[in-house]
Amino acid sequence: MTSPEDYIVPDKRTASRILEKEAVILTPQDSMLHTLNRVGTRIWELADGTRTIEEIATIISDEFEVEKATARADILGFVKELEGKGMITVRKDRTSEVK
Amino acid sequence: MYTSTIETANIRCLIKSEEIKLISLAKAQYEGFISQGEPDIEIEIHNDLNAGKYRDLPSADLKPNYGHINIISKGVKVFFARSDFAGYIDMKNRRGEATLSNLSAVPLDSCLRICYALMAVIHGGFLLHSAGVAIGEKGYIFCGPSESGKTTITRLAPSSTTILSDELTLIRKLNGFYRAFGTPFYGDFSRSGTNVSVQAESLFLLKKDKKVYLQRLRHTEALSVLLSNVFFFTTEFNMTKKLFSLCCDLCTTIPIYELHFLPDGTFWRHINDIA
Repeated sequence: MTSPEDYIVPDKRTASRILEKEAVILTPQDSMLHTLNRVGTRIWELADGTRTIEEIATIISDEFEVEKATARADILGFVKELEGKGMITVRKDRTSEVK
Repeated sequence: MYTSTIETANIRCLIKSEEIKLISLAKAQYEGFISQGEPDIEIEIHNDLNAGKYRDLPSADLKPNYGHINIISKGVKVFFARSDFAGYIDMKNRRGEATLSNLSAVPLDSCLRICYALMAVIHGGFLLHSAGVAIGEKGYIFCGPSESGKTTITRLAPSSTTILSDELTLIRKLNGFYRAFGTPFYGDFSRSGTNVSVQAESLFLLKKDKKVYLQRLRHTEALSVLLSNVFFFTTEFNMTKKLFSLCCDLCTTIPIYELHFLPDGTFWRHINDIA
């Protein structure tokens, strides 16, 4: 089960780009193109394996002026959704690589 | 062995065969696109689907299919089959083989389209299901699936234009700019495009409508349009990733519109207004 102390990175099997502030993500295994909204795009940008989900929640809470508990819960749900689609990988350890 | 080299978008494919009739057919079919240059890929063509000459087709999981082309990617090889041809292309070693069930242009042309679909991406471009028209030094690309109006657009082009294709235009980045290339691949227009290239100016997604107007697309919408209309035949990750990057690059480089049009040529005024 994913915890706020976990780290998240894009799955290596995806290709992504930020276009006009929207993240578009291609999952080649099913040739699906996914587009994220503003908040999703910001989370995607922050998901480089160097920040915990909790740290990302703090940033999202500040930037989008939402309660931190709400941001945390939303991000955990979002991560679960993206992980299910093969778009994101959850790690217990901080990565030394930056995407 | 008899040979002929086809060239489009500076990408050369050498076709070789023991059947002189097949090479003669290729030379006639691709007149205007014949080259003497060093090939980028070599494809050996055999005749007779049942001759047993085709060795590497993984027949257990890839069966020829009427109409649709079955494709399987295994590492660097892309295997393809339809009722009238079967073959593979080795993208790493730049060679391939195909066996045709009969000596006619249709299966030969299909094999060549698959070859160029892959080679274009390797060379920083892609084949787009589109009509391409050159007006002076500017290229206008009209994309859409079958029956969307590509051939209609081609037939309604002003007499001063050059037709790049009514079916498959090749887009490729050269010297920092995207260019649209004429190809020998045609649809109902029934003749090859002209072997020229022009700078890609604008791209349009065709929408038959009762009124004529242009609607500029956001980059994410434009990307979806491109990816839906690319002529591409592998699920190999690195190739797919490269194609994605090329399409992202293109949709941030040239404007992409929905073109709502009537089949009467009046849409050209709207295109001229944005030129």
